[in-house]
Amino acid sequence: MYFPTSGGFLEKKRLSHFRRFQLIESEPTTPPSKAYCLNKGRMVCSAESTSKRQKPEEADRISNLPKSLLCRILSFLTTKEAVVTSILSSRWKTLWTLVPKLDFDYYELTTTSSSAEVQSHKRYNFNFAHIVSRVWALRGASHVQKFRLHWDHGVYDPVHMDTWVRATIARGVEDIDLHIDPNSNRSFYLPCSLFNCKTLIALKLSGNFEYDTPPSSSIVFPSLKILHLEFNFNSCDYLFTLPTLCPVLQDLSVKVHCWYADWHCKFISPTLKRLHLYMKFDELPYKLEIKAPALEYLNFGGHLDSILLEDLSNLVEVVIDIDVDLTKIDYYEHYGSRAWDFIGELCDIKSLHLSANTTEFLCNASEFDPPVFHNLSFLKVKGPCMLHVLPHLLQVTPNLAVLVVEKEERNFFSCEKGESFTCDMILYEEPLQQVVRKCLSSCLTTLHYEGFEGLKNELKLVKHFLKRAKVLKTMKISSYNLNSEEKLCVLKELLLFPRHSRSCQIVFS
Amino acid sequence: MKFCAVKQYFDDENNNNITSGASTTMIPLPNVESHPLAILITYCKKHLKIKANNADNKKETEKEMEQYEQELLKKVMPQELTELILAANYLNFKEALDFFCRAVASAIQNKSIEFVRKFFGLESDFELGEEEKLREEFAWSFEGVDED
Repeated sequence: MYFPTSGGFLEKKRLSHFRRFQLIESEPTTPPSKAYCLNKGRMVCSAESTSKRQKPEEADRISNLPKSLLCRILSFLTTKEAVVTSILSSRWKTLWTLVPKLDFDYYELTTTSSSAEVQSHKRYNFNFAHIVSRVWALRGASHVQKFRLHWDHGVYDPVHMDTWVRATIARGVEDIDLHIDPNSNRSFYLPCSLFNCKTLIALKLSGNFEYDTPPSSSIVFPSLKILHLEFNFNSCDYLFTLPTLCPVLQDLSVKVHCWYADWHCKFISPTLKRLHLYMKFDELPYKLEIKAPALEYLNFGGHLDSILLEDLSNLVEVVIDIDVDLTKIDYYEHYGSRAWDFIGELCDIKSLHLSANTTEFLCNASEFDPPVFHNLSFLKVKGPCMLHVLPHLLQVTPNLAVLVVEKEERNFFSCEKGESFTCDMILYEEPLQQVVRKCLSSCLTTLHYEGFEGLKNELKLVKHFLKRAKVLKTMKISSYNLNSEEKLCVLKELLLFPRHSRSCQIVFS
Repeated sequence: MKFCAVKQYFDDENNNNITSGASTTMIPLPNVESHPLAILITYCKKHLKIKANNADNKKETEKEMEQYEQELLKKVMPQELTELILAANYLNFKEALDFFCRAVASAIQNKSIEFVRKFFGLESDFELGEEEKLREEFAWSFEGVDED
């Protein structure tokens, strides 16, 4: 037996246990006509109360939200956008000062209408530093959770920036994002208090950075979990020791555009889970050693040189996007072998993504001998060379469950092998056939083909997969260039292909 | 369990050693009305379903979730957003709360003051000249904002 109370319902016999949940008197303004309760996930409607639900007045509804929720809404705007709300009403006048996020972007704050007439009507002619200082003054001592400062145009002033960074540290900041012009010859000297900041959880630095005085202890950033560094040659080497010094680091991103030749660095982190490397390095040689036994995700981009990976027992997912200026390297054919060797070191992973550039290098490798990837269940291969590389990969992935192939359009394509070249390899060459047949018959459950054009060899390949894949559940095909008539034509043809797997669904988009 | 308030409830129940064998456990949600609760449950289920479907592919998950969120926003009226935000806050459902707050933020981003006042149902209660003074002081923030 249930009895209604002012805002909700209680089961009678359990009343004693619900004392903690004694009902809060619901707002007198809007009594609900039906209050619902969760009944182990299903909604159950108990008796309707007699009073009809009053249509709430349109006026001032969202503004009735408590300040904390209004601040939460404003926190999704930049500081400039939030300040505008000060003019809405007297309640909103200082609401923006309570938002614990500060977001200053030089470009956003100083693109003014250039007409002199408009300028002369403005009483105050604030520049970027004025604006930021004014916002700080109005905010007072309230807590700052996130501080983002992008000052990559105009005349960058490190003294002002230092003041603001120190101010955020004093207000318990958790997330700092600093971006300054990488082409400026003035570095920003990070204050010592930043390295010892106990509240900082995420730090993003992009530009030229150095440090003023060395930090007092050997442990820096005691709470830092996320560190993203993006440097040019004007930053100091010390900053590359940070990943090793941070005791609880989990997410690291290092992007180096140009540096000096033969740079050698070691990252040692027992807590690191995600690593994103972009080593453009101006195509110069380097050596990077990584010891991160807890690493689960690795994303490598840029110029591949000497990278030593120790202890990859937890590594699950790898994304590789080789990005090299070919005019700067003179060992193009060996580069492909180097790429195969690098992938070969990752033979225990479960998920592998290869970009279009990467597959092109793999395709043109002079010699390669990849090991077997026993645990690999997800493979994504992109680019026009993906059909050339696919048979070699299928040969070493006996337990592949999900295969995604994406044929990207490319303007510059240097591969000489024809389109039909290795489809025949997959379909007819005997030793390869056996291994592929085994994988397809017992493991492959999903195949996505993106960029399908309905070409003869593509249809041949799809037909082959449908015929052999015994446990295939989904075959998803998406095409960008076909119009609906062509799509219908292709779909009809696909549906006629014999399927080994009875439960296979073909999805065409 | 995404509805953290409800999870807390179940945790407390277990701590008190109540047998969970009873077929009906009514959980009181006095501050949540029917309509927003229905939307939140659908959102939650959809979120979990998309996550399960794309276990290996994070990008796919994000893409599908974004598409679903766009569709959802088209059906929700601005007035309903208040209720949804309050409900998500009460249930401690962080993802939905952030989503709806972000939706309100993008609805008012760089819009004219008149539009925002209408959206929130506000009236200006400033004294004479106070608004003008604020507009002058914060002229830099009004760059790029729609004209009234």
